[in-house]
Amino acid sequence: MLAVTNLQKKFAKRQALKDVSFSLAAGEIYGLLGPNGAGKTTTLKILAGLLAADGGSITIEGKPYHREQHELKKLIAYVPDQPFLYYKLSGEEHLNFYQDLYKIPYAKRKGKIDFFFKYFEFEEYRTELVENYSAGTRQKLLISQALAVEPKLLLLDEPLVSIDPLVGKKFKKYLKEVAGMGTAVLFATHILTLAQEICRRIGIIIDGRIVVQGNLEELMTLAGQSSLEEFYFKTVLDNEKPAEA
Amino acid sequence: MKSLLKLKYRQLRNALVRGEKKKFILFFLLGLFFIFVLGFFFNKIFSYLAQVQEFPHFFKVFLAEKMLMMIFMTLFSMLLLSALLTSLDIFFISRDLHFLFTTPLPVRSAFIWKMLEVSVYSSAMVVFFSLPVLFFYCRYFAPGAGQALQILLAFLLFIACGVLTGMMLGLVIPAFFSVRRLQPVLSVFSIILISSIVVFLRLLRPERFLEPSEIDNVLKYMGSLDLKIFYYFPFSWLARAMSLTADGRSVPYWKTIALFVILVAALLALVLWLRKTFYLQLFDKLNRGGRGYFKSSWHPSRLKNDFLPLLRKELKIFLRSPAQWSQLLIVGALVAVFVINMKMIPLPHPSVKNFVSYLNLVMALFIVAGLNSRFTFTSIPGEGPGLAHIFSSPFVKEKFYHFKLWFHLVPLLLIGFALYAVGDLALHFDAFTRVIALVFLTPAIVFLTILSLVLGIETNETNPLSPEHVIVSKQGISYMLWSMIYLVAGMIFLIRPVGIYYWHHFTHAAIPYREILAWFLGFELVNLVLITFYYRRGKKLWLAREL
Repeated sequence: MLAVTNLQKKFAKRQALKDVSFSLAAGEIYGLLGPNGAGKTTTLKILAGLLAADGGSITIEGKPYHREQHELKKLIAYVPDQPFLYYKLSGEEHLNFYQDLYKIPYAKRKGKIDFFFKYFEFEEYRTELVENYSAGTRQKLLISQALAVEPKLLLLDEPLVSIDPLVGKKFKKYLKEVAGMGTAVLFATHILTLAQEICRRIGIIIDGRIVVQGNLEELMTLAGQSSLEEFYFKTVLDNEKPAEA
Repeated sequence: MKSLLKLKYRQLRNALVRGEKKKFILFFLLGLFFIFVLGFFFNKIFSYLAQVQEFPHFFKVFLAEKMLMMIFMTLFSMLLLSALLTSLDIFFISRDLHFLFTTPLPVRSAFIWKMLEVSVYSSAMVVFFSLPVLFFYCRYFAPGAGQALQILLAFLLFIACGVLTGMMLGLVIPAFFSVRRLQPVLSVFSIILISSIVVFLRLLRPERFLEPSEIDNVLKYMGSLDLKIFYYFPFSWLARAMSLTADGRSVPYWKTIALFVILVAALLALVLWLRKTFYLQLFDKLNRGGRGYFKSSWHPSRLKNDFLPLLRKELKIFLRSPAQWSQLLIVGALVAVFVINMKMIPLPHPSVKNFVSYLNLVMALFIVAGLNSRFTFTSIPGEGPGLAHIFSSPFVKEKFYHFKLWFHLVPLLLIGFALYAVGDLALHFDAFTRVIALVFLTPAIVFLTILSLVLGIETNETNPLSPEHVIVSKQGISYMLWSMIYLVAGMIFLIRPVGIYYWHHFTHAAIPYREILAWFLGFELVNLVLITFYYRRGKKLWLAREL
């Protein structure tokens, strides 16, 4: 579904991504873990089309992808790490606006919009302006917006920030369901338990480079660790040592 | 308090270090320019009043006092509203309040700090506008250093009265209404007031002050303004204190000052009492915002145009943002002034009409340039982080650029030509002026719109606090300067063909249409080059834009 090869990105003098490579099969959930400023959000932003890559290549369904590739973008939906929303639109209008950008017919969208308002339990905010939403409700709207376009590749940047555990549980369940139906999910997170719970594969990115990636259980067994948390800390510390020295 | 002062100082220093020096210098120069324009105006008025031989000194001072009262009445209403709005913002909505209240800083100290902030922010503009008035009044009526100090003291007390009254209202009103809902309403109200003042001042026909034969009418007019109720207001006290200073009557002057001091002390005590008794309770009410008046809807449309969702979004956001649509009221006021000017303009000879028609075009473009600065320039930066949806969706980025251009260009072309039509209807211009309008307005409006859009993209701003913050960016000020340069250059460029036509018309000679046509084509060509250059530049910048 998605293949990223030697992706590079530089901000002024700082090399944010150094030859990042990974791939995702259809229906796979891939967790991108790493400390703050490691390059997780930059990777997702490049895939979402918010940033242009300085080097490397991306293919989606075998076709070369860049941010002006609008046909391929129809397959992607993105949930940013911050509530980027138009505050003077209501939740329902926001979802419709996003559906319009994807040219999804009205007949097809109504049921889906109704479903997500109910599923994520914010029906009473449907006609309310986004500016009056709490942080959690804004996040629910962003998630609903991305899921409602039925993407083939879902990019999630810290999706469960501000979400209450009950809705978080429903979200994880839904995510597994859409993955089961063939959607590839790439998500960046700090929440290690979440990654352990739903990811089939993980990649740990440190200082713009993926230092380790693979099947979760295999990686932990190889490293001799019993939990993802221990494995993560060991990996981060091991890779920080040369810099400290 | 010391730490907060240090914080402000560091913020200012960092802003200067971060390369905003140029912006500050440009601002300073613009301010200086406005002060000079105002200074020129008040210098004329006060020198005229001081030098009229027929009037005795006391009568000149009396006339000046009445005029000062009118000026300070306007400034006082501006000050009051500004202080009220700033108070609501700074006492209740300001982003750093939650932080301040969680520190060990006593609430009283935090509040006093916020009072200082309100005082500075709300009075800066009024002080700025008053400087030339005070300076030239002192120059002609109160030239001594002691007199100047007396006037300054009265002025500072006047400012304190306005600011404290605004603060007091700002602390009382939230007891009855939600701050979040009230603030936009008050913003609109203040804009209506300012617009009304602009129209009112124009209707006063200030040019009469410079016409000695009209002085009787002016006196009658001032007499009609001399209402008893005004004597209870600080603007009247300030005008009186200045008059008494000019007359050298110190006892009544100090009595007026005592009145000022009593009022300031009473207002200060009231504000501090309100703080102690109600402030924190009212602050807790902050998040109980209202729902607002709007209908949530997104109906299916038969039109299959790509611009449609963007158009819907733009219109909904525009109509739901009082800070945006209320600006149109100012435009309305400007148009009203424009129409009044057209109606009142004295025409010593019918041929002058042609000159007026030409200036009319420049005025129309001036208004269009102003609208561009407020709306087109801020349009893309004003999208804020919401742009992430456009960038991450399959929507073609280039189409978004085109949409933004058309969305502003079409109404601006309509406004530009409507303004020309108003002049035409009032003064019945000849057919040639209609040709000039077509030749001048069309490319100029297109160019000004593209220039503002492109400079807006150049700001690279992704999350501005407000449109005003974008307008005062380096690119915003550049736009204002470049648009003015363009207007003057365009006017000079076309003066030649216009002059040739009317000169030949006036002398009944054969009109050299070829030469006129060549000038017109030259103008269009230059504009075409400029428009193409900026259009391409904007497109390139937009497509390379990252979030």
